[in-house]
Parts: sequence; C-alpha cells; structure tokens
Amino acid sequence: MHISEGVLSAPVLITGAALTAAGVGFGLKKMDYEKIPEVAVLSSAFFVASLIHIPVGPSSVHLVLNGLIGLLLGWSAFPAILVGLTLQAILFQFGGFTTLGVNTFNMAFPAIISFYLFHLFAGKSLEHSRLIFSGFFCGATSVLGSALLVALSLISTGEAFLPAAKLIVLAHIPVMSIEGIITAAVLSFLKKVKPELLMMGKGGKL
Amino acid sequence: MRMIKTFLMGMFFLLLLAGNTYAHKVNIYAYAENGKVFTKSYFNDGKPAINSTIEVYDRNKKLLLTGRTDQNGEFSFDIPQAIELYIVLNASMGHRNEYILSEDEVRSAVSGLKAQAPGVSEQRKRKKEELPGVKSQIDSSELEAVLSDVLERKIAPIMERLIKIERDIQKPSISEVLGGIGYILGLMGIGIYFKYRQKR
Repeated sequence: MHISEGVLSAPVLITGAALTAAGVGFGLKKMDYEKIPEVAVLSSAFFVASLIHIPVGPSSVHLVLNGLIGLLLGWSAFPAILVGLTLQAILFQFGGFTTLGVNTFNMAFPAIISFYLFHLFAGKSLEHSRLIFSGFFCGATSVLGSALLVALSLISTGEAFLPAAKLIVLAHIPVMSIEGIITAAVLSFLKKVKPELLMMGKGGKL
Repeated sequence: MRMIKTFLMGMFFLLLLAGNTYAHKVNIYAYAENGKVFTKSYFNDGKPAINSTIEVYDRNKKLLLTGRTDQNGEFSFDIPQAIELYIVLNASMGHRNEYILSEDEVRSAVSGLKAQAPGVSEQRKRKKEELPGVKSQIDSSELEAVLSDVLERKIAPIMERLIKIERDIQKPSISEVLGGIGYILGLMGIGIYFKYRQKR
C-alpha cells in the first residue's frame, strides 16, 4: 500500500499532494473540538495497524483499517491518515516523504467513500444485522478501493493497469476479509458502548 | 472517555499481536566478491522478494544491466566495470529500494579475481612442489590469492550474520511505535489547545 520514494513521476506526485491538501483542509475544517481526541485515537490505530502483517504469496501485506477510520471520522479521516503516514515514514521508513500526498489520498479517499456508503446502507436504524453487514462491506471495499488507486498511481511508471491491479487486488483479498471482520466487530462493540458515535453524519454533521 | 479507554485497550491488543511481525517495506543488501556482485532482497517481515526487477546503474544513472531475483530473493551478476554501482530493487506494488556499492569494494573484488587467475594458481602449485617450505620465494600476488581464499571462507558466516543484523535493524522497535503514538497524542493536545482558544 505504501508506494516508495522514486517510483512515481512528478505529475502523479503533485496531483496526489494537491488532492490530499484539499482533503486535509476540508477535514480540519469539519473537525470540531469534541472530535479531536477521537481523530487522534484513530490516527494512532492506523499508525500501529500497518505493523500487523499478513503473509500472502510473493509479497507481504498489512492491515490498513482505513474503512473503520473513514466511517467513524468522515472527512477528518484525511488529517488522521496523513499524520499516521507521516509518522510511519519518519519512524519506520515506510513509503516516503515525496509520496506522502499520493499515499494519503490512496488510503483516505476510499475511506470517505466508505463513510457515505455506510450511511447509505445502515440507514437511520442501527439494526444489528444491517450494521454488521455494512461494516464488513465498507471495511472490505475501502481496502479494495485503495488497492485500485495504488494500481492507478503505478500506471505512470509504465506498469500496465490490469496486471498491476490484478496483482494488488489478489494480494489484498485476505486483508479485505480480515478488515471487514474487524470493522464489523468494532461497530457492533461501539453500538453497545457508545451508539452516538455511529450516528455521526445525521443532522448534517459529517 | 470510555470510548478512548476501550480504544487504547484495543490498540494495546494490536501491539501485542504486532510484537514479532514487521511491515511493508522492501530492503536490498549487496556485496562484491570474486568479480561478482551478490544481492539479497527481502521484505520487512524477512520474506524474500521473489521475481523482482534489479537494475544496476553507474554514477551517471546510466543503466548497466538488469535482472530478476530468484526464489530466495537473490541475484548475482559479474561486475561490469570497477566503478561505484547503484543497485535498484523494484518489487511489485510500488516497493522500491536501492543500495550503493562503493568503488573500493567493487575494485577490491575485481583485483581479487585477477590474483586468482588460473595461470597463477597453477604456478603456485608448481612452486610449492618445487620449493616446499621456502616462504621467501612466494611473491605478493600469490600470497594475496591464498589469503583471499582463506579470508573468504572465514568471512562467509560473518557476512551472513551481517545480513541478519541489517534485517533486524530495519524492523520497527517498540520504542519507535510508542514514540509515534506519543507524537499523535501531542498533536492532539496542540489541536485541542487551539480549538479551545477559538471556542472561548
């Protein structure tokens, strides 16, 4: 998921950085006082999640948790993921500084989509089975979305989209299912302890 | 507050799970010996990077040769020129890393090869038969060849250990993980401070 330094061409890097800057700006604006601790906690979860690695085929993949972050934070997922990725780049040398924009966008954009999809599916009711299903679906699809965006970013390096996308998506199928399960489990837990967290996005508050 | 507590507990659980695992980054390590360069590529979890492209450049970024890693993530090639070599590993999915082999190391690997040219070793054998035990007759190039033979055998396990240590260094330490979480909490404090002032 983390694209390394020196792989992408300048136009792709600049586009990614610009999109991320816009997303982070919007996310910071949407973030109010009460939400800051939640953003920080989820940002830490994202930071740690990439250390949990799942061995698959010739490559190795790790948890992303962007679906969970997206559907709990909405647009604030952008700053949360940017902070997590920056620290991963500094401390673990994952990805790199020039690719920070592209990597943030690749992980945060599907997170936002999963936020809207979740509220579309789960609806106003917090019915248990529906919650579990939409949680699983959103957790899995946001990883899929990120994998596709990574493949799309790699086109500029001359890699053909279809084979690259196939490889990346195949490698992430185990992660998708695990993330789906984790997301669904966290949601059902939150519904018991703090249901108002899941009601975000109602009443015009993203 | 309750939510934060449960989340912190969850994160602690994740940390326990993460204990001995590594993450997503690819590494390459290379050394030159006997006119050849040996490279080893692996992901952070220690899995070899199989069937990945290796490109070798000179100082001016001119492509010298390319190759693919085998099942053990290894790839070796004959030294094209005794110059500084930039070895670039390109694993799939946008993973890339590079290793710079210094001119000194490449040069010494090439000169070691010359000293071991077949003619020399033949000569060495013959001389040994003719003049057993006469050390003063051995010239410096033969001595160098013999020494490099012995050294190579002695160094092999050390080399392996170096690669292992290099691999361990790359793995994120627990202090880095906790440090990262600390940075995030610090940022949270700054954010709350500014938003609080705005609110007042």
